Amino acid sequence: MNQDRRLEEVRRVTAFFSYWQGLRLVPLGFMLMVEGLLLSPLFEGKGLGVGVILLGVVVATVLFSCVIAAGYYRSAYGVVRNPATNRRLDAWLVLFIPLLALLLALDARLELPVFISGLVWAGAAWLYERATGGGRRHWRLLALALALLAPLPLLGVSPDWMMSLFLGVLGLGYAACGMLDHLELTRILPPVKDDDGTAL
Amino acid sequence: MELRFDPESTRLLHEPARLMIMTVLGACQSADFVFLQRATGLTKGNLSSHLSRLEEAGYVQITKQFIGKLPNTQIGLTEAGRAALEQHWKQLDDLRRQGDQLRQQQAKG
Repeated sequence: MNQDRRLEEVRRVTAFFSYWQGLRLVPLGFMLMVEGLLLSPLFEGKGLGVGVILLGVVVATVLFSCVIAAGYYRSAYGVVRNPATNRRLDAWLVLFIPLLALLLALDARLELPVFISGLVWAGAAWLYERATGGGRRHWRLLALALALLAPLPLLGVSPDWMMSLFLGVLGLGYAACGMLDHLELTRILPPVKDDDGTAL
Repeated sequence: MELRFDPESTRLLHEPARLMIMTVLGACQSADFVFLQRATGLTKGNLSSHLSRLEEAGYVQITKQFIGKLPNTQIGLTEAGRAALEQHWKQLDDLRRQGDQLRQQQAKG
């Protein structure tokens, strides 16, 4: 491979290392899928208790998995300190995610002919990929899939199903993009055989 | 800081593994030994040897510490290291530009 290209790839991963640790996103994706299922008309009248317990178990599993994934990346890939970049990006995420959640709540309440959240979350997924170094086209596919949800109410999809569908696609997208981010990270930073032949 | 062409610095940074180390460190505040090993694909011995040369030149600073109970070696660029890396890229860009201009002139003439 061209050395310049390799240098650029490694530079990008280093600058945004914590945002390339895809396995941390996978449990969140599953949580969103479960939430989508619980909110769907399929679960209507099945008893709130089961749903709440299931969601509680899923949230606890997600938190636990995130801690495990962070430990795995620390021991297998090492530690990169980049406080300025991380602070800047985290500030944007802290600002944007509540706004996106608010928009989702408005979409659910107003039942507009176009599902606005689909478009806005598509933009957010695209921006996330750009802001964290680019080079991961699967995020653009997720953005496209979310944008395609926008006109579904016009095609007769009911608001109850719309929210479940959105959370399902978003969750599946997060899980898939997380896995692909991880594979990309492993491709760029492959394991190293050490002097004694053991893999790092 | 006043910068000028320094053949010793160019030789030091032109080596692909050292350029990779410096590029990684240029993209962050510091990285640990494990990360650098993954990024460069070097064995522990080779990486240590390159880091020693860069440390001798005053380009990197190596800090040993503990994260929890585990020892961890963090490596970061010094100001001189950052300046040398910047200068190295600038020189390469200049060379590239001059090469392009020469090619264009040859194509015209």
